[in-house]
Amino acid sequence: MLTLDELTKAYANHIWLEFDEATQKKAWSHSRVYSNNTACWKQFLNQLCREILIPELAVVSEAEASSIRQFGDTVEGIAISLGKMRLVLIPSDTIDTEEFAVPQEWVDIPSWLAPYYLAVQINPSDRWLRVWGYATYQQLKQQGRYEKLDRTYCLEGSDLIDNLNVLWVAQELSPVEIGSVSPLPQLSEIEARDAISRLANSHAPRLALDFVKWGALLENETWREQLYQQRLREKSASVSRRFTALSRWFDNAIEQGWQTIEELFGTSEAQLAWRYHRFGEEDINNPKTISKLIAQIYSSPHEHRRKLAAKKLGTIRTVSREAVEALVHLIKTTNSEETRWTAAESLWMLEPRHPAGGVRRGIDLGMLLSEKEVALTVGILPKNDEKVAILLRVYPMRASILPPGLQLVVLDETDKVFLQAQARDADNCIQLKFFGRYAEEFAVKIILGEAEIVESFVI
Amino acid sequence: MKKREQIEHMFSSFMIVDDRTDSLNRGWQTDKSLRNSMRTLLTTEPELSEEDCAQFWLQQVIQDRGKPLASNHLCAYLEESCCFATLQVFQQFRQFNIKRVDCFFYAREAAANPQKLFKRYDPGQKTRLKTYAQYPLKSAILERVRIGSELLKYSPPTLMRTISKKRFTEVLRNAHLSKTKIDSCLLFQQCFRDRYSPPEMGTNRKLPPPTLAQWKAIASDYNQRRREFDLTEAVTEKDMENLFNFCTTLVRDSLKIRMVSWEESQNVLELNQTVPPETEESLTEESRQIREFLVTAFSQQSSDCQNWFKLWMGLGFTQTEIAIALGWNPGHQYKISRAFRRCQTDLLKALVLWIQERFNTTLTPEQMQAIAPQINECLEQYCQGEFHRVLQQTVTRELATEVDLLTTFYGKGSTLEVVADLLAITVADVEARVKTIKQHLQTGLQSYIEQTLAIDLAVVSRASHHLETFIDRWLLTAPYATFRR
Repeated sequence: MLTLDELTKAYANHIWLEFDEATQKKAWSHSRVYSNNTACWKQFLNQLCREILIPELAVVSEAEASSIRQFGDTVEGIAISLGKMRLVLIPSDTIDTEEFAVPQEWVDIPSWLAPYYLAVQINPSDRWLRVWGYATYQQLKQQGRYEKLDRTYCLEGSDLIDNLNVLWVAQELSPVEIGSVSPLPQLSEIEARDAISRLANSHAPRLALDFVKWGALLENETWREQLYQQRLREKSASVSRRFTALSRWFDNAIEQGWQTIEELFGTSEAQLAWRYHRFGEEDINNPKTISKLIAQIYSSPHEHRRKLAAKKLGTIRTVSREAVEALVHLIKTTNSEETRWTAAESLWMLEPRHPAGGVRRGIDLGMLLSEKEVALTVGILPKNDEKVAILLRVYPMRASILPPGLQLVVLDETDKVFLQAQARDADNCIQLKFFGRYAEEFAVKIILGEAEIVESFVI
Repeated sequence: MKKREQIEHMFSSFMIVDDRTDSLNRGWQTDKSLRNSMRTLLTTEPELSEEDCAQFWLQQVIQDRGKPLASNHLCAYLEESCCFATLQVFQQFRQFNIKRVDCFFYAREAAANPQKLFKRYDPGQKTRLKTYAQYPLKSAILERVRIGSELLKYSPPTLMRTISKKRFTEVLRNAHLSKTKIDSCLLFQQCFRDRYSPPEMGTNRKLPPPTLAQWKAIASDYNQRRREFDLTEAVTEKDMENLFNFCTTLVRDSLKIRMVSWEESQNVLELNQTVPPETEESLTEESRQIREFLVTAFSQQSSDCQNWFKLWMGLGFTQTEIAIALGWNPGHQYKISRAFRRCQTDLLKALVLWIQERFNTTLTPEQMQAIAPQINECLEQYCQGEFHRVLQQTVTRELATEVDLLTTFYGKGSTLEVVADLLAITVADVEARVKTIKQHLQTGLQSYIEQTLAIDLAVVSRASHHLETFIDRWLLTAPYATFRR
């Protein structure tokens, strides 16, 4: 009935933002790993806020914005810093704006509270989000009605300041000061461990403990992290198909079991490449040769030359900034998946933690496959058109070659075979390269004779 | 529109509406107890003006929480404002196929709760209550219709998940349920929300009913927590399902909106139903200075930004339409939105600093919020002013022979028949001449806008609708007395 454009006009004081399906899918894929549908949904709303609203707030307030805290599956909200200002964004998919309900955690945990709280309404079906007002910490504490039903501080919608311009001006001219806040009592080690094990598989953990204990648990970073990991583990044990959410790796949210190459193989990336790929026999140290290779990457019209130059650059002994920049340029600009991965592999060797090299992790599949020990590694690179490039490899563990006949198979969302590779007599590694869109699901099957292992992924 | 002239009448009568024909303002009905109360007030204080009375009843509302007399007086007083807000919404949004009478009732519902309506009203700003009420009344209609139309797309589980506790509590209270029943429904909603969430990304509107396992989990959660709320009776999953059906029916009934057919919604408002905007109150010296200051500050913004504001606030274009008029991708509307936001923030900051310095005071965020609408009002008037002048020039230079007709028909609000008698022509002739005048004005205004703003309005599909509405409103409020000079 009312279009978004008309809503924007009718409620001109609010910030209205539209989002596309790709953004929505990406946020959804980030939320799929949590312990139940309610947790996934909370995280989904939090993630949409993070993806859409934080960048916009940075533009509107002309300040740098970053997310500083969230406990996605359990507590709605994200704490962010915007220049010198701290804010908590409270997303909700409630149909009306009669009430602003802020979870108690954001108000009564001293290290979580903030001077300002933004009310964010999200309509995932029509794909819009609006900031419809803000409240201050003092308002929540003094005027807010505490609702023990869901442990929230509630203000009436009409109590909020609905003009966000006021926030920027008030903050600049007379910033709000929060006086001293009394700390929560400390939990003992035993109490904390007991609480974590009790809450690991609780459906609604935030209501399962007294607030004082729950707040103290969350305030302690180590315990909070332990609880989070425990809940992820409980989830993977309780569902038949365990999904690894790949795009979350870009945010350094890596599931248990996935290790860096050094951790997995006990060796560096370069040594692994030397061991398995017989990388370049020649040793390139001559500066002129290096310059020539770099020039080829930037100017050669032939894809195979650019790829070869990238491969050779991966073997130089002295890492130069120019070489790294040339590889990054190639990763970002090439249309060839082969070239992209070659450049990425060379970058891993020169500068393993460079962000343009994407993320690469491996998992030890142990002796699940006819007592042959193998490892699966997954590399991901963001592509510039909302796709993610993926490289799968299977390596032998504690052996120099893979068992002949071992198959690596990729299945699409309908479980149809999409790609496959098979180890020959003396292969020390097999690999598959492809790309997919955010939120797409696929499964990787490793088969040897009658035995098979399946790992499921969502991009 | 038949306006009320007597102060006593203004605070004691309510508008009669006709649901069958979906028309407003069919006359006024006086409430005897309100009339007596007003007579008493005006006998003791005969000097009170309309605004004094309104402010008096507002004070009574604030002091006597829960006593209905003062609220009823204010509600009666705001009837024209409710009617105006309704018609304004219909003028602004052509796709509004809701019953007009219902929208009027949504506004009246908001007016009946002056405590909430005027919560942020600052008497220090010296704004008339009727002027202040206009924005919240219009918002009340829009919000209610937005929710109601969303609701039509929702399945019961979605409804249960997405209605706020506050709204849900109001629905339960309005159904006159016992406290125990209300507590039971609220606890049920909480348990339902904890256990039931959309399993897929795109399906949050049409959610399937919970499974048996979910009903059991909801019942178990409810039983675990019921003692916290003094609920003595244990429940089964079947009880939960019954409570769910009971609650969702209540919610749906309370938020239902009545749609009308597309043809009905397109009925152009009868001219005698069209309400001119509330007459501008005479500006105080302080408000005049504020406006002067704001106009100067606005003229320092980039010329692009000023032009976009003219389309937005002056003529009622949407941000996407502005992007299209500029030849941009419609998706780049956000650039316009950011420019507006930045400009409004700049103006607000400048105004706050100016007031603080001038009155040697520090404004609180609430006070800043209270002065912010003045910026929009001022910009709206400033942006419309330029186009009003263009229309006036067109009339005086090119349509001088039609001034009598316009003055009688629009200025004095005479009926078509009266105008026809006066000019000794037929009613059909009057209608034809009014149509020609409007077309002439529209052509002139369009070409002025295209030339001065260097844009092509032909690419914006609703541009002519915006110009038409703008001209209609101007014709109702134009200063006809000055046309003869």
